[in-house]
Amino acid sequence: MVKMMLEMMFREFERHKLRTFLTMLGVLIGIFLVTSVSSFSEGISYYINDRIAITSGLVTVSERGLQQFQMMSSEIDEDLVEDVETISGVEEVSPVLFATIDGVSLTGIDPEREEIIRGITIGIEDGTEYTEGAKEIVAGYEFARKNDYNVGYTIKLDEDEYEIVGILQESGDSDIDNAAMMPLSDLQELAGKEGMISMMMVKPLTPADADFIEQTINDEFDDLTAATDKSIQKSVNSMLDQMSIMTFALGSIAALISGIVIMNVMIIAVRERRREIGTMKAVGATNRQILTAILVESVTISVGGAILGIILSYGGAAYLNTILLRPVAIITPRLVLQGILFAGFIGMVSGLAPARQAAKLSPIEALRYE
Amino acid sequence: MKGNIFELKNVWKTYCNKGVETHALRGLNLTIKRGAYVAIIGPSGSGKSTLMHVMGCLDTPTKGTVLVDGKDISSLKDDELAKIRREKIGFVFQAYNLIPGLSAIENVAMPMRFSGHGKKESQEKAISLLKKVGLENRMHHKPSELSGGEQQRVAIARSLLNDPEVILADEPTGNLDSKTGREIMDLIEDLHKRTKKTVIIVTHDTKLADRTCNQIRMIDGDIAK
Repeated sequence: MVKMMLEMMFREFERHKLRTFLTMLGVLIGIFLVTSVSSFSEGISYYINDRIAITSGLVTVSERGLQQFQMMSSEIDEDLVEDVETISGVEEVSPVLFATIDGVSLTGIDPEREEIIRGITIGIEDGTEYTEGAKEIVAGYEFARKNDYNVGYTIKLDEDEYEIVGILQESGDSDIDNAAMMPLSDLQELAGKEGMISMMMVKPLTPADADFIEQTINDEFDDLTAATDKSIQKSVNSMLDQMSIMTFALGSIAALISGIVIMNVMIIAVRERRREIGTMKAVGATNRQILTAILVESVTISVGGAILGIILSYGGAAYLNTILLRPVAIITPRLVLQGILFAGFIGMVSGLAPARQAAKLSPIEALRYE
Repeated sequence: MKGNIFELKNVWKTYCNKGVETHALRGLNLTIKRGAYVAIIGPSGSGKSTLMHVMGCLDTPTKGTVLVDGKDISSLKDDELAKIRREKIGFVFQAYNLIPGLSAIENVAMPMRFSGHGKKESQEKAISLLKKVGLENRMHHKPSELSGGEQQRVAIARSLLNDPEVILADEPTGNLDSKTGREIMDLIEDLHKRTKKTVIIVTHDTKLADRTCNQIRMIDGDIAK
């Protein structure tokens, strides 16, 4: 029974290819938008969790007024490092500069203090550490792998040759893996940013000191923002909450519009097929069988559109991630399931009225000749 | 089996349109014996179509009782009526009423699919019936690729699928030229002779009605005395 209805349904889709496609398009766009926005949330939370694992226990200090994910464009005066070092509870401060030169993401770190930012766990896999002033760099794992770099290779940065003296272990943090490291002072010179840094990583004496350091920096320095990993997590969570509100709003609008489109098309389809439906009832189809047939049809259109939307969204995310070298947008299995279930629900709700209309149709309709 | 396949007692069918009541059937009494070959004739508006709807369980009477194979259908629910239509009655319509998207086989097999039979079983039966109505070479064609006469043969095969007690044909030759119409009537007549099924033909064509054993003449919603 159900199989026959599916067969008939696909014949019907074939007969109205354009109409079926346009109906699907509504759901497609809706689910595409919702899935894409959600994939950014997933991407951000994945990225932040990654970062936090690496900077765990540290206080991040950056230019005031910037968001967590804008760290690359943060700029602060290097002299402030000394001021921060005087705050009680501070064990060590590591200044960091980010710059992109000739397409290479570079991270400048004070050679003495690199383990703070790199984390104890990320060591050199191959080769040695760099020496200051010797035009030497250490390549991140992914950066070296993608470009096929080995220890001893040289790369050209702003007309100068730099030798790759070491390659880092894989950290799992795409920012570190896709970058190259060099001594802070070398990068400052290379990037023309003498006396400037992007951020500082502050290591507290004990974990309990972190909150006090954060508080002091935020209160006493006009140009700086400090955040412990806990407060970063908090602010990210509130941002994700905002995004999920946006997703919800977007989803509701998408559902409403595509629901109306489907309902409209199904009402027309039922009206067009009055005689067929009447005939089926005359030869013994029950109301429930007709109701099921129409519902299955509208759910199929809706879920079909959703699947296309998810595929599109997946393609878009994959493309973005390749360009930006890190997972910006992630389509998780949860998002796929959510999209399909959501579409199924839309199809069900919007098909209900037309399906009931069809089920209630009198078989005598079959005998009315036009 | 002997007895009456239809027993109608004081059957009224009243339609209400914008407060105006129209009586399509006015206290009609009718008995049809099992295995009969009957024509219901009458001018348009005489109520013969309504009578057929009621006998075919497509509609229920406003008043009175209708016994189909001994069962009173006047108070049955939609699904129970559907079951009777599926099991006891085969319809042949003036406009054939085939499903455009389905092939001849699929159209014929449809009633069995609705009663829950598998595709293979239904289609095997459909094929044997299509052979009986002389369409073995046109089985995979869609209705739009068949002539009117061929479409009506498909419809007749469909009406026989569930091996019903009664064939109800509503102007079965109404859309056909006279030669094809005669062929269809020959087919129906042959069917009646071979299977001894009750055949009821609704028509306004007296020539066609003359071929049947009994004629029931309707006028103004009742049987002409």
